[in-house]
Amino acid sequence: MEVEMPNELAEKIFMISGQNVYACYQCGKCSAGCPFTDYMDLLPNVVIHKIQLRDERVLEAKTPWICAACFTCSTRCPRNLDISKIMEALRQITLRKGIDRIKLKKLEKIEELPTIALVAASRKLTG
Amino acid sequence: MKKMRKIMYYPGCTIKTYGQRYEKTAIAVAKALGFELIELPRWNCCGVVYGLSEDSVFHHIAPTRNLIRAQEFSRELGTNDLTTLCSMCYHVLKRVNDYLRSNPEALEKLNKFMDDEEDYEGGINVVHYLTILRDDIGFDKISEKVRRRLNGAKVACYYGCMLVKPRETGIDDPEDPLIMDELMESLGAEAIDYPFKTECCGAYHIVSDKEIVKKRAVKIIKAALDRGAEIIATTCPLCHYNLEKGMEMAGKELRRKVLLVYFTELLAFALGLDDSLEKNVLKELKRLIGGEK
Amino acid sequence: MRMSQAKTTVKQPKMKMVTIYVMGKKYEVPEGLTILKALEYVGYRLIRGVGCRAGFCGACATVYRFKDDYKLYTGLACQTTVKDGMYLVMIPFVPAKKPVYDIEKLKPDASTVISIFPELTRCVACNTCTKSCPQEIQVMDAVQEILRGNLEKAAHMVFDCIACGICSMRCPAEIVHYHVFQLVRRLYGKYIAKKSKHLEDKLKALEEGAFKEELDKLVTAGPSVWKRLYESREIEK
Repeated sequence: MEVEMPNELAEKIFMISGQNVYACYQCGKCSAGCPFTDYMDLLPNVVIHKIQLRDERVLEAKTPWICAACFTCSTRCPRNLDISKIMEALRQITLRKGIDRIKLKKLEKIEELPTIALVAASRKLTG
Repeated sequence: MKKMRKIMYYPGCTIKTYGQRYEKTAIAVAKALGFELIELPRWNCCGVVYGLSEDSVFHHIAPTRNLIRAQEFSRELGTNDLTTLCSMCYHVLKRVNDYLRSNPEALEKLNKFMDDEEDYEGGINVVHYLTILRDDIGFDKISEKVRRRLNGAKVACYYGCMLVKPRETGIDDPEDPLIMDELMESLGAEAIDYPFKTECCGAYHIVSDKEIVKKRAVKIIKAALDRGAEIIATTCPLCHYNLEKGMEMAGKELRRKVLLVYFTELLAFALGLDDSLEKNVLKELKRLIGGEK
Repeated sequence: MRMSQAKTTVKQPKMKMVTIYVMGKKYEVPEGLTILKALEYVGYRLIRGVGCRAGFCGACATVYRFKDDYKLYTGLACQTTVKDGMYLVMIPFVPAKKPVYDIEKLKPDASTVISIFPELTRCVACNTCTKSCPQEIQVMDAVQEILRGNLEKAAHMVFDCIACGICSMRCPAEIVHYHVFQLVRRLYGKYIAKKSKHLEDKLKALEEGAFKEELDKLVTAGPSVWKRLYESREIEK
């Protein structure tokens, strides 16, 4: 699908996630339902707004890394936007540069963690 | 003698290590209800999280390879149904399967890359164990086979995210799923309604941000406790671990502890399959619910 | 002085030559040589990337391609014969510092191996490692068995590993398979494999001096006795 994006950041997000951030009309339902907003610096809907406005500081926000990909936002969005895919795209932009979010070798008490947790963390937080 | 229906079974890495009690009870319960879980002879880690990048099929390789294994095995076993216990394995396998069925380009790319395997043709059906219990066996039939009614024990069913979200992949309604609740009721338990039954446990944050998991666990468990829950039933080893670890870290923040079990353990207890249960779990269940069969 | 003009010349059969490219430079080498021999034929003197020359030490890992074929092939230079159009380079060293661990303090389970090599959880089952292995080991399957704690099975699967490193060079998850496998084999040998009771008994007997007299006699016997004993030893001829 050919979609022309007004800004490069939105275009990059579209290429990776297939989601058009301009579909968002800032209803805030995603942020209202997100279980992790207490630990985020920017609310999910604010992150989308910043992409719309081409504010590249959004790439430095904590929010995409606090997102646990629980799909609550995607299930509730009235515009059928998959916000979890947008968060993944933001993570991928950094990870694909070779910058990992966690250092696997520096984790504490790793022998106590079940495999499922480690594999999930490797997938989401390392490139 | 009625032949037992055979279903292909994908265990996942964690079931074989941390979640052995989940598998043991699930296999025993299946046998008692007339179907057999036949483990795939060869499988690999599913990858746990579904690859959310639309421009890359890299993270779909692992789950697709498992679907190919199921395809190979399906010819031997004579069934296309693949079941699994772990919510995350279920989510990944089902979602990738659906994606490949509707995206021939991606399927072709993966088949080309995996030139060491036969082509995946999209014929496998991924079905969660709970769906088999509800649709193929029927909760009524299960109720008839109960030898130890759960005496109105207050069970809070914790679904977590991956089993019911997104709508297209989930086995029940993402906002108010009832499949596990109905199963518990058919066993004679009282399914507690509480607001956070599908709220995320914190998932992989247990690796690098344990505090988040602690807070999530406290919120979920407190809501269940406030409504009288004595037992929390889970379907995912990660949820189980996170709630367990969260409860441990919370300490006195929670006014009392709650018994965490996999839903198959409650089933095994109700059906009188004591041999499949771990000794301390059996002991705790007897203490809370009563021991008579 | 007259130079002898020998009329008898032995007719050499014309050697069939093939073209190979070593690090981009073109050479003609006789067909049927191994890559290792071919490199020496054209004048390379190998001081790294060469060892037993018998397919056992893993030193001579080589990668190569052919024209109009996108595939990247791998093999041991001492075991692979040259083919026309081979475009090759040797990988004499694969960088990977082995982590330090105390085998006495480890448990033989998945968590232990994963805690020392957490990158194992990055495996995406792409199977590139298996395709690269010159020993035909099911490398990906072995990694998977380790992830789910079947260390005994994994140890047997990787017995033939010669640590050539080709799998590790190609792995997108940056796993160093041969270091992982060495740990798994060591854990199996130390904690899981059946103990050899007769060996333990024999060692104990040795320490308690059961053979002291015989050994002392042998040690002081002298070269002529040793030579006689050596030449008359029991051996399969």
